[in-house]
Amino acid sequence: MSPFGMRRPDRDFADEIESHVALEADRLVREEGMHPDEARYAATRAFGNVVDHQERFYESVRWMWLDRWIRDIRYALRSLRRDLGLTIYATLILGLGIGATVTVFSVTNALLLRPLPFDDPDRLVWISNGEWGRGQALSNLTVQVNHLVDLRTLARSFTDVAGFHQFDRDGDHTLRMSGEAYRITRLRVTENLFSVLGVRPALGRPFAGEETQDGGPLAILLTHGAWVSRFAADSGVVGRAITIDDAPATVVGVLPASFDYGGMFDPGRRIDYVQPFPLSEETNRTGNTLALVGRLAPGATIEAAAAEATSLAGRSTSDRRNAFVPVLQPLHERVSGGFRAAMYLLTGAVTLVMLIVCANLANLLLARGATREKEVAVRAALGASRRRLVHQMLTESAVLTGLGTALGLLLAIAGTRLFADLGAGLPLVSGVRVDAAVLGITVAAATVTTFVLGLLPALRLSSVAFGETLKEGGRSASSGRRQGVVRNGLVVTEVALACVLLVGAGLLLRSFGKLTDVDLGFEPERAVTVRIDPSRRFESSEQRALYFAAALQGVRDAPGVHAAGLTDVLPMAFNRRWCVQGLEDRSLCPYVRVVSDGYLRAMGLLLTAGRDFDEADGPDARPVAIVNEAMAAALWPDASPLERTVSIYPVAPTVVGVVRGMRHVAVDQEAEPEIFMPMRQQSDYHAVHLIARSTDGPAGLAASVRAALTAFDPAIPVADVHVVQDIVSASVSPRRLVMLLLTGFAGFALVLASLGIYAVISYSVTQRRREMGIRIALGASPAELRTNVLRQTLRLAVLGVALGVAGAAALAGLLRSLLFGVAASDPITFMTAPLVLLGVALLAGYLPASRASRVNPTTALAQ
Amino acid sequence: MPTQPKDRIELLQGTLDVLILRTLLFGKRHGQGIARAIQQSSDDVLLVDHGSLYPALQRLEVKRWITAAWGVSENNRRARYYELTKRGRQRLVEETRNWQRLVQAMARVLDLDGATA
Repeated sequence: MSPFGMRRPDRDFADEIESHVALEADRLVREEGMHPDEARYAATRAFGNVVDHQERFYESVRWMWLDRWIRDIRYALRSLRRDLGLTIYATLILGLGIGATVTVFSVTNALLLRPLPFDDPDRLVWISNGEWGRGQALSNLTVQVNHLVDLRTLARSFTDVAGFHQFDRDGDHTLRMSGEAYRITRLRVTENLFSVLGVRPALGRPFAGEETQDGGPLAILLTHGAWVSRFAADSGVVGRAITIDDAPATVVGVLPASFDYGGMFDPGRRIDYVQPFPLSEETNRTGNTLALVGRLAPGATIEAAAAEATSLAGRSTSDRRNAFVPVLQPLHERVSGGFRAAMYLLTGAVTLVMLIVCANLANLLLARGATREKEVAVRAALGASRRRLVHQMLTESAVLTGLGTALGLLLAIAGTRLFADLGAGLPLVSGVRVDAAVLGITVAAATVTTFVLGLLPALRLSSVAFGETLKEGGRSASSGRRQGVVRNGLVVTEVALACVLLVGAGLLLRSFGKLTDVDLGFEPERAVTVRIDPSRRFESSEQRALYFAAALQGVRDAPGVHAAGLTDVLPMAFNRRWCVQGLEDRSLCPYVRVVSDGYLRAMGLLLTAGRDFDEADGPDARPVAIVNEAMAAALWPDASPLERTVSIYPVAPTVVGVVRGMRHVAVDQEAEPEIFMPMRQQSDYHAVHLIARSTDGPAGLAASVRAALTAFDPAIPVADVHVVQDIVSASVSPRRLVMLLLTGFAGFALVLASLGIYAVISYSVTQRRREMGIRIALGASPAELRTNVLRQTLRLAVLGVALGVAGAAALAGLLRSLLFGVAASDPITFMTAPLVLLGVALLAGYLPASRASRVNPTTALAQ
Repeated sequence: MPTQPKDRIELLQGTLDVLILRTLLFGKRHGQGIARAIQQSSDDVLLVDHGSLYPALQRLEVKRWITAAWGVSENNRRARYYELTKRGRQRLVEETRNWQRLVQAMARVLDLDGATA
């Protein structure tokens, strides 16, 4: 490539040199009287190294760096094609390593690093009510309206404070459009929420004026999702009158796609529209309803704000007000703080995996470098400078890394998409993607990998005596020994890192095992559930009760149904607590469940005393309740709870039964005080879920329930029949995901480490063929040789495992928050992981060992 | 070359270009002729390394200070002839002026008595 594009051919230049030499020779003959042959020789000698000049000419008309690159890349591709197996293997493990790294980093980026899509998100704090202490389901930790009003008007640490209403549930509302009814989910927020967050509607305007007052006209903002799915992304929707719950409403605007309440605060939930929640005496009476988000005033710290909020909350104990113990945390912390430990763990783990991949490949390339010593020596003898050789090796590793990175990026794009789609109960996952930051990290990682992989074999060059190498069978023993140390070191590192990963994965696996073994207090197997409250309203609560009783009866009569009952809340989902008074003024705030008779049997709850609700517990009968053992123990530690009354809104039921505990909030949380009230005596419930149990599998059961309900009322959306076990599984899905990923990483690491051992041992067996031959010739038995090689394997493995166990012991403490039911120093895990590794190592060493034992002394010595 | 006088000076970087341009001032020449002419006109003091001559010619050609064409020499050999362009002529004038200034400056610095070199 010439700087001008028109290139003078090399041939032309050669001609010119030829002509020069001829002219010079002519002159020597003419002027010095030389013999023509002698003259020609002298002229040629005077000219100097013709090839060198031609090369310099060649270099003068080309962009040499580009030319070198192209040639090196071409050469690299050729030599990689020659070692196709190695190339495929390297590309594959690099691709897997980089794919995993990039995917995990993308998730970490989306969850922890990328700022929330709000104005100045670092100044936003989440304020919840710590009334019941920490570690509770956050949906309970809500605040009463008057406290918010106080914070807004009196607190100086906040520019403003807004609230999310926490008690809107999925599909509670009905949107009617052109004859069709859709169940939609609403979110109520205080009118200042969007200004606090700094969110502006993508279309239309925020709430204003009368719309934000009690009894004002209903104005709604559509979420981006609902706008796309229900209104076909029609921008003419702004200002349109629609019908929600058979009442008129106006769409005043559409929220931006970045406002994803569910994705941020309640993974898996999808909000369809937002409506204002007025702050008034009226709404104050509804009790603890709000989760708060505040914007810190300039200069205010979160600690100062917490102190101020606490003093305000303590001071105002007056009028109709529940207790408020403000707990403040940065908003980002609230959104994804719970996953920080897990993400750090995965990031750390994937880094270890990547290190193992690098160690593995470095070892491989070192071995390959050894077999290519002769080739390199020839190139050096032909005039390749050391610099050129290093350059060429770096190019080769760059090409290899490039292939691996390309594959890795493809895998990462697929991986991140899978993540974003699955959600898996993680917040902010819809933002998981390969973005510029992630690409930057990938390129950086690839560059480092290139240098690590390329320089290791290149550095060897300085220790290679080329002359020695070129001699047939010559071996530079000293460099060989040093190389052996490097290669063994790499394998030991691989084993150690794999061991760390195995221990980590083992701990999580054991935790998950314990978690699935937990006695939930109910039986999620062979039970299905479906939400059955119709979208229409009932004229009276009697009618409503009759409707549900009839639906329940229909399902009970269906084939295969063993038991059926109704409840207003499903486990691992929404929940609420009411405070009650028991004996001797002991107060307690149990979880409230409104259920029908038969629910206990359908859910598989164990009744330990008293009786279940029955037909007689009607609206006019004596109000009754069932409590769990935790509640009974808390209120009546020394007496039987049966026939005691509990003062609870709006009635004071008598306890007629006691059930064992039920893990209702989360699988890893002990049963807490619970009170069950019969649906026919308690009208404060919103959703109704039917639960049906069969004696055999849930497959036929779902169909059976669906048929019975459709026959009863075709309006029930029976498509959403869920298996109760799935609900429980979904609640532990983030845990399962972390466990599966770490197990996958550990498995990959194990495979890599064993391949690493295999490669090193095979290589050393090949190098020692002659020695083996001599040993056999001198009378060593095959078994002795095999033991010898296995001992060498074991030495490496034991050293690696020892280092790994030490490392794991040091790091396991970091895992503590992710463990359940196992100690970070769990002896079973710490014994099993090394044993697995040693076993695999011996297996990897066995093949080369048996090859060593079969060495034929005659052929080995003849070589 | 049969004789290699010891007092020959290797050409300084960059001087070869000026010498080539100067040599071509009186008409076109081929490479060997240029080398010969420089050597002769410097009374065999300046040694032209043939190996650097051709890259230099190449460089000047790329800069369009000289042009080249194949022709036939007086003793009937094919040779590549170089010729000064208009730009090359201008360049030679500039370079000559630069050299004069450099030589005078060097002389002043090296000859502290103030005697002319």
